[in-house]
Amino acid sequence: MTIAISTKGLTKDYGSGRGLFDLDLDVEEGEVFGYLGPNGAGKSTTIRLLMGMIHPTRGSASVFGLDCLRQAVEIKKDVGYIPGELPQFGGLRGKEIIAYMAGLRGGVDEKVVREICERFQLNLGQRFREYSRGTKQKLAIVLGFMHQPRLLMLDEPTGGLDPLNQQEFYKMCREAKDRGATIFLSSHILSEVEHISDRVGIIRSGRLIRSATLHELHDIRVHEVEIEFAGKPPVDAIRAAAGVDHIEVNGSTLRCTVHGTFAALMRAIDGSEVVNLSSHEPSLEEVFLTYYREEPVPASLPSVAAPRR
Amino acid sequence: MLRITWRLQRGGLIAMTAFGIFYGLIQASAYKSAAGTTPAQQAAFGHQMEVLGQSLIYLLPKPVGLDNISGFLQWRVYGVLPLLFGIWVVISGAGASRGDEERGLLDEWVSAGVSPIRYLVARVAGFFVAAAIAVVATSAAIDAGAISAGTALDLQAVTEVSIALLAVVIASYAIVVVIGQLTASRSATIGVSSGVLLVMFFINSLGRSIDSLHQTAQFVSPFYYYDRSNPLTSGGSFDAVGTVGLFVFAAVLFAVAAWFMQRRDLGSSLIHRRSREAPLAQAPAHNPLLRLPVLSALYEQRLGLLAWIIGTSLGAAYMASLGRQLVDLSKSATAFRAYLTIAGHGDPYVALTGFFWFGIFQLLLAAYAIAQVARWASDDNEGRLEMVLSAPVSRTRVVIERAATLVIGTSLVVGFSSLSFYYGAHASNINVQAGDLFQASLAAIPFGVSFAAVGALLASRVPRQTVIVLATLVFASYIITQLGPLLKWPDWVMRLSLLSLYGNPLSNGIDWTGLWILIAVCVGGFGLGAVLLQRRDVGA
Repeated sequence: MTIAISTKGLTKDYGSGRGLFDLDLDVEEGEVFGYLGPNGAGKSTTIRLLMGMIHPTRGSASVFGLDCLRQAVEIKKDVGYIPGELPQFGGLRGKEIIAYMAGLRGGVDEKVVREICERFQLNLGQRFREYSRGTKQKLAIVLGFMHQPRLLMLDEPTGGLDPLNQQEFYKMCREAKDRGATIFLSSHILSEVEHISDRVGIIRSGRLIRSATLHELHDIRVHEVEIEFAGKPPVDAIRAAAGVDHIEVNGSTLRCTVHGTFAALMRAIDGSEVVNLSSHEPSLEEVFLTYYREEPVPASLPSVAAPRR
Repeated sequence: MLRITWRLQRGGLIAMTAFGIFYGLIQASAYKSAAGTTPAQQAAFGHQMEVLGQSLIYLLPKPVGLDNISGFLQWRVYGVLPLLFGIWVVISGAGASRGDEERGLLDEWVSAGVSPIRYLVARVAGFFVAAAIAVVATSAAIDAGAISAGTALDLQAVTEVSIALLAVVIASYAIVVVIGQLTASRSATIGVSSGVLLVMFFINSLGRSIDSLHQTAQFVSPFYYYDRSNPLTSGGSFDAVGTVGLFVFAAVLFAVAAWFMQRRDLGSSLIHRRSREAPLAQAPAHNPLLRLPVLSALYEQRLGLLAWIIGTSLGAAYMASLGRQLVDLSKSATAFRAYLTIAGHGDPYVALTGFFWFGIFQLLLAAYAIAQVARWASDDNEGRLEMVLSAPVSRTRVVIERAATLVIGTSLVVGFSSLSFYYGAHASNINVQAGDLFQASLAAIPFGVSFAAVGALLASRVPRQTVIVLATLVFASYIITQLGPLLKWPDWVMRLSLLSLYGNPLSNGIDWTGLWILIAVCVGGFGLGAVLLQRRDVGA
């Protein structure tokens, strides 16, 4: 597999702790990388650095092996971009904007434009200023996808879209991936990332604090377990089990949290009659919130560079 | 609330006050050098100005009592100030009635419990105070200029004319605010209210010589009531009833605007046009112009460019038609003979008409350049530049395309206005040579582009401050050309002004040194602009 995006120590320091710091990241070609973080975490800064719109304070970034600043023009032949903030095109009609951007870019197939417009029921006959927020976003999607790029840089791309159109957008992303495209998707919507991403990076205060596959993220989840015993719960054995925490006992029912695997807990309750056992698997939302609590990053979850497959 | 609305118009107040002070001071203090020092000289000057003033009656009040500084200032300065203040009135009024809404500020205030009426009252009160400050400062500068010319103006008369000016400014503002309730955007408010105020102004101006319009002006033009006050003129008077009437008229209009605002939805006009279904289109436009570099930019600004071409062409024809009269006046008037020397060699009719027209045209070209540069700055601020750069387009290409678009636009404006000037001059029996005019027009292109080149440099570095810095540069260039000859500034200082670098090529031939400097500014400005754009962050 070749690397589509690579950054080494990429930093954009705006001062007062704002910006992006020491980002080491590799995204493979054909991969869908979800970039999660709250507002102001540095998601848009990362994308704008990769697009060559802003200059890094230090470090480097490359796309398809080309330098993001020096070879920006070459790179953009293969990149589709949806910015976080939509540009203002005033009184131009949607079809004029598409024609203008297609003229700048070249190689745009009118059939693809038609197909995307039909999927989103987008009327290009209206003026940009008459478009609603969601319709403007649809236009941005057309601009990003119309030339069927090898790499899609999507900065919170579903903002303003209704759920039906969001589903259509996810479908388009999957189709792009099937076609072999790489997608770098920034979002603060976890379900969006869960829908389409192969790998997720979590960014907080300008630093990438975790990069993992969806599967790996599930492994580090904290499970909430409730066990109803036929008799008295084996509290001491459970308390001694590795990875088991926050034990609460209410009669014959025991509640606890389990980090990592269930093996230790299973051994601890071996021999006791279990009437009922339920485990609540926290959503990615809860994992996300775990990371974004303003606490030091847990020792078990050190700041890491992106793992290679 | 008042404090916030005050902050919102602070920039406009500072700019208007600075301009008013400068304009008033220059006009008043230059009186002595233009009119002479003895009563006889001033009377002769006044008579000549009255003759000239008959030709300018479509712009200025009837020229009467111009044989002293007081009457001259009433006519020459207070006659023009409503138009100059009108620019501020339109921009500020459109900002108050629509601009804040477009930016979402009004939504914020309304959601914080401020009623739209309270907002409007605060905005109007803020403007009233700002306008009063600007008017007082301007009048004080005029008086100071008159004192420096040796005559103090009558304080009561200055106070009266200032009140009249404030009244017409406030009445104009009220008109803009009402129009703002009936239009759906800030730009529409600016366009419609500029048109309405200009029509009102010209109905009054034309009414000075056309009786039927004189009757109409009484009912439709606030400028009519302003014209009725001329306390600085010998034997003139202050029309207290008319002035109070303007304030009452403004108050009624503000009440109407408040009522309209109460009745309409925020973000939309009171007049609901049934929205037409746009024809369904799901393919890119097939207009080939949109896909071609430079032509796409020209296509996008086609209406604005057309307006510039028509406006400058009409101006050129009008100035050419006045040429013979201006030259005859200059020949007979001692004060104006200096113009014949400055204007150059050869046929005085050609030289002086060209001198006057190209003097104005230089400012118009600078204004055209500023308008283009403002567009570039907003490309960056409104995200369009980022979108363009997301395509395989280099930053250098962006700058080159901007330059090419500007050169073509400037050439079209110059070409059409020169044609218009040529035919207008010949219609007035002024024998402008086509070759000389072509040469002067050709030199005007790098002149106009040079301002934009400086703008390109600024837009590449400080896009948010570009327009104000460039406008200051034009203003400084204008000051140098106006004050330099009077104060006998050295040649190198004069050459700092881009206006003076153009020279007077219609009669004196091309000033090659100046032209090469202008070309160097063009190349340097765009070249450095490209380098700086390369180095800076887009959207920062």
